[in-house]
Amino acid sequence: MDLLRSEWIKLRTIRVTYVLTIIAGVFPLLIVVLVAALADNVIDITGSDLVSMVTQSMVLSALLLGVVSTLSITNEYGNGTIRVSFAATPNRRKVLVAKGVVALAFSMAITTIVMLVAFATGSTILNNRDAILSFDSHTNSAMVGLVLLSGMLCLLGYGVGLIIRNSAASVTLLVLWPLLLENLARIVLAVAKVKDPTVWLPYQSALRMVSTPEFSSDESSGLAAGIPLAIVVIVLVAVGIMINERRDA
Amino acid sequence: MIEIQGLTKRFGKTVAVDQLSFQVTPGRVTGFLGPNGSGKSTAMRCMLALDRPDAGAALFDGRPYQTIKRPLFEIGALLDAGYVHPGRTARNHLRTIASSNGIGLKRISEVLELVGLTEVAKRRVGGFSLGMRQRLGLASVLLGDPHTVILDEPANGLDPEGIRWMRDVLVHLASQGKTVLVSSHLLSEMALMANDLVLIGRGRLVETSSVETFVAKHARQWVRVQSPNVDSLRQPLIEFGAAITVVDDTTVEIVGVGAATIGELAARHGVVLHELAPQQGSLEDAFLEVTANSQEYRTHSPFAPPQVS
Repeated sequence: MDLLRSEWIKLRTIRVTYVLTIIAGVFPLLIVVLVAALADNVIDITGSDLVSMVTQSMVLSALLLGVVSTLSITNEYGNGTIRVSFAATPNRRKVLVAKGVVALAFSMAITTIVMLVAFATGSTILNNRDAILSFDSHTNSAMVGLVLLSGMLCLLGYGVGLIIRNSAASVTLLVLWPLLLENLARIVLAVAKVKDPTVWLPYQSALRMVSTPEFSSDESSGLAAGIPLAIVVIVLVAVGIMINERRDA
Repeated sequence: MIEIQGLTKRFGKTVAVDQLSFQVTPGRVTGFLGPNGSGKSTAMRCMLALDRPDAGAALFDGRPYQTIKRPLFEIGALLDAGYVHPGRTARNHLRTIASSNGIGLKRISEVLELVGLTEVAKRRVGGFSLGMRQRLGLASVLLGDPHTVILDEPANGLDPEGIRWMRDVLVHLASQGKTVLVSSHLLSEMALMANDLVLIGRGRLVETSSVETFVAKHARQWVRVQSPNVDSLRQPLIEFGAAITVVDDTTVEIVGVGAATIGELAARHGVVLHELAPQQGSLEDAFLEVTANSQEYRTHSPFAPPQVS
């Protein structure tokens, strides 16, 4: 518990955490409020539409929370405070696991809160405009999927940060991975005529978790779609911790 | 008690610390000296398990550092005052460290008071001077009231009052029976503060002894003689095997012959003496003498030494 408390203090006592978290919270709220307030034909908007709007707009938020996670470790190396941390707790694995747990809990908690607030705000505005919203298990699954995706992107950022140790390089890789690298890989796989290339693209596959059926052309949407990214994340974090246990601090 | 046993650390082909062995005893301030690049900081990082040594061990009361569960209560270390997040306040910086070992807020206030940073406790560390960061670093060292203290260049950036304060703190800690190992380039400070010395060069142990023994053994000793008729003493002294350095028309510095002998010679030859003062070189002189061949980066003085006749 002492280590978790220490890591929590570290996370919440730097400004970048607040800045990125506020952006991650305000951005989807703004989208939802604007769309719910300004959309024509609200009678056609369904519960699934609202959930999809919330979850899709919050993918960027999840990525920003991943950046918070990355910076939580790379800042320690950049400022040398990792040496202070390891001197105070020589069991490095405990320190790194505690840091990852705190970042994961923070990311998933913020995602859940923002998602629920955005959803409640959108529902209230749409209900006041006489929209009739109904929800099913698919919409619930998408919301759970968003929280899980946020957790995975958090750990993806953490794992990349653990291995690279440099803030700029780690954040660049974290952002380029989903936005550029996997799209390039998709083109290569398409040229190679690989059947269902998304299977080989962990992030693209995980995006299916946050899709409601109306917005997914793929039958395989659902939480299982996140398994490839989960495996990548687990491997990255495990390798990162192993490397940092062996390397000089 | 700190015991360093055959500590070796390589970076590629460079051997930064080479079979280093020494002991640091409680109740004394031990100075850890060596030229730039001699391996002091690397050795200290290896002691604290921050760098992985290729061979050897550092034991604190018989235990390696990594086996100590709450080290802040046993060993306080300050390797670099710059190891802080500039956006954190001084108090929050200490909270991140203290909470990892279960140390409460009350103790944080106490150490901030102790190092004189209470008034700036809520200011971001990024705006601190190096001296203030050194004080903050020492506060983190004292959090758990440890029995062993390891400091790497703690006087860097401190003003004269700060240096004196740091010296008093370390001497006080040693007087309480704590083990204090401190590296510093400020040899004049070390001479005032340290009881024992561990001197390394090119990663190897050069010498370990008390400061007095070290200075007596390695620093130049001479006798300063002032006389209106100093030339009359020159020939008798040379016959006694003395080396004479002329300072001015009436003053010479004599090496190789003691003050008593010089006084007797002066009396025998009827030479009036205005000054007959045995002199000894400083810790700095002794350090430079011993490390002459261990300097990684050497400079040459643009000033020629005085002529020796």
